[in-house]
Amino acid sequence: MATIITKEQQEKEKMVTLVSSDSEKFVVEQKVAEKSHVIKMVMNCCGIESPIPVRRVKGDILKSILEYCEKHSKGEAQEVMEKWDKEYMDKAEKDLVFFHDLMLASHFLHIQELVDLIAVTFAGMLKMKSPEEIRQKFNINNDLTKEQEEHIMTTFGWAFQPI
Amino acid sequence: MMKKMIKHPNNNPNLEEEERDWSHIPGQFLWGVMNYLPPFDAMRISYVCNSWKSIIKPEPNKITIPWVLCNPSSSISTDRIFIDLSTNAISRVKIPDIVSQGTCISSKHGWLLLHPNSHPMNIINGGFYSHRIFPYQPRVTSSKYEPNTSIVNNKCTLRLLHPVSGTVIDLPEIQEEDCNVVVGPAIIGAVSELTGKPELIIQASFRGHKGIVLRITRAGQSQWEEHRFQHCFGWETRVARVAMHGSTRVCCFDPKGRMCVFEMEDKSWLIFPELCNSRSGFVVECEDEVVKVAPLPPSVHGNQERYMFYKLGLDENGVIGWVEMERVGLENKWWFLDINGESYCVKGVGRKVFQLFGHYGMVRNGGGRVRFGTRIVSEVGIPLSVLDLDDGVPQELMPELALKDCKLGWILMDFPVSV
Repeated sequence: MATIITKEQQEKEKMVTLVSSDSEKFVVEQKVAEKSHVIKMVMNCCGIESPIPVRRVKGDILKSILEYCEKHSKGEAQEVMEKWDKEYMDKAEKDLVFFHDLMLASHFLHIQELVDLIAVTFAGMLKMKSPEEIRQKFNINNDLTKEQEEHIMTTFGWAFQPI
Repeated sequence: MMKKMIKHPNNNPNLEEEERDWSHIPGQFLWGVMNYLPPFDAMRISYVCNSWKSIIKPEPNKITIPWVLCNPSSSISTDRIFIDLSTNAISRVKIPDIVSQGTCISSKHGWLLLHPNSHPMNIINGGFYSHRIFPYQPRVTSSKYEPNTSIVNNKCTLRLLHPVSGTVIDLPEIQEEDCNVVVGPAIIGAVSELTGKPELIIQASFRGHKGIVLRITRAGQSQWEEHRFQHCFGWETRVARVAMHGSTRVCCFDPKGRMCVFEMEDKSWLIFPELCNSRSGFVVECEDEVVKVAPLPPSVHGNQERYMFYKLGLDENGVIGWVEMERVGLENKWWFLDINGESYCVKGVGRKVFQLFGHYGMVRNGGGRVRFGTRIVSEVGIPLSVLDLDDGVPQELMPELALKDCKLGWILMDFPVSV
């Protein structure tokens, strides 16, 4: 009996509470939270007794990230993980706002595996696209072209016109 | 970077649906993304916006090996295949509609000079070598240039294309006075070190008994400045090659190797009628020199290939001519040749000759087989090979490509200087 209680206690000790920027609470195993290098460092220095605030990550993003970390802390077969990752990304890239926040959050929380996965997905979105198409897709301001045009037309005098 | 997130306050969910600032994503992340992109797409990232450009810096000391550009010869597709030979990476790139039918006739510093007609005038039977000496002259019959009545040959607009950024610059229209004169070859003469943009374009046409007209235009000029030269006696029908010798001399060659030189400083012409009485070869511009790479007939034993290298200089009598290059002059250079006479060389490592046969799957001789000298390959043969000068044994190089009917060419795709 005594040993079982100890185990339960240990398991309880291994749980950690993370609080998102919009005050949503997530209770996860320590090994799941450790997937984030940043949270791991916080846990190392401050312990896991009190809830850890993740101020820059909203609830829905943190939930999705923890879902990823949980799956990746199980040590499943590679093929299973690859399939799961693909489905996870397929879902994420449909919503660019969500995808953007997921990218920033994984970068901020320093979850290298997820950062790489997002980078591969993002690279896929940029392939075979002209700078203009990329700007349109991601609603990026066309500040460079104006400057280039000015460079071409005035500063460096490119004014080739048909005679 | 997290400040950027604060830009979008969490308490305003309606606005948030639309707004995320993709221009200010973490630089480290963007660098990571570069690792997963084909080279062409990776180069293009820096042209999206200033913020991305400031993150992606060009690598100034990277050795630049010409890329292979595959032009489909039949379709008017706007896709082009670019092959980076240093990594064998293949990039498929959409180019603007307006230049989709153009053929690249010169390339420097990432810029391509495009001729609007599908058969530019300088591909007829190659740059300048005679067929009986050049050992690997395929029997080009079907792809030989025939004046096409649907294309107006005496009039064209050359365009500059920067395929990474998609920038197109129209050059002033060229119109020959006589409708029988075809618009001859053109080159990018110089690229500004400051801006990375072409600043000198040179074009030459041959007008029969009226001689040569050389056209020059520079950044900032809205028309071509013309220089005529009538005394090019014995010239063969057209200008085959234009090359820069130093920064002020323009060399024009006819198909037999006769040369006229225009000195831009004092606007004078010089002619060298004796120059053609030498071995035939490819004319290559090489670091301010004009070099001739002459293939020798294949040896009786094995499949060794041999080349002689000459540069334009003073011979023992103090007369301008082709001077054999010393071995040390060949060290650390790669030579890039192709059958169209469009060739480049850059600094590299080792002594290798890259050979490119202009057409892939187009050149045929009878029953779908191509004859390259002593070798006979099938129609989908390997048109690209590299030869080590030490042993002279050629190796086939072509990355696996499911392409047919393509015209191949060398282009220089170095990273542009950051503007």
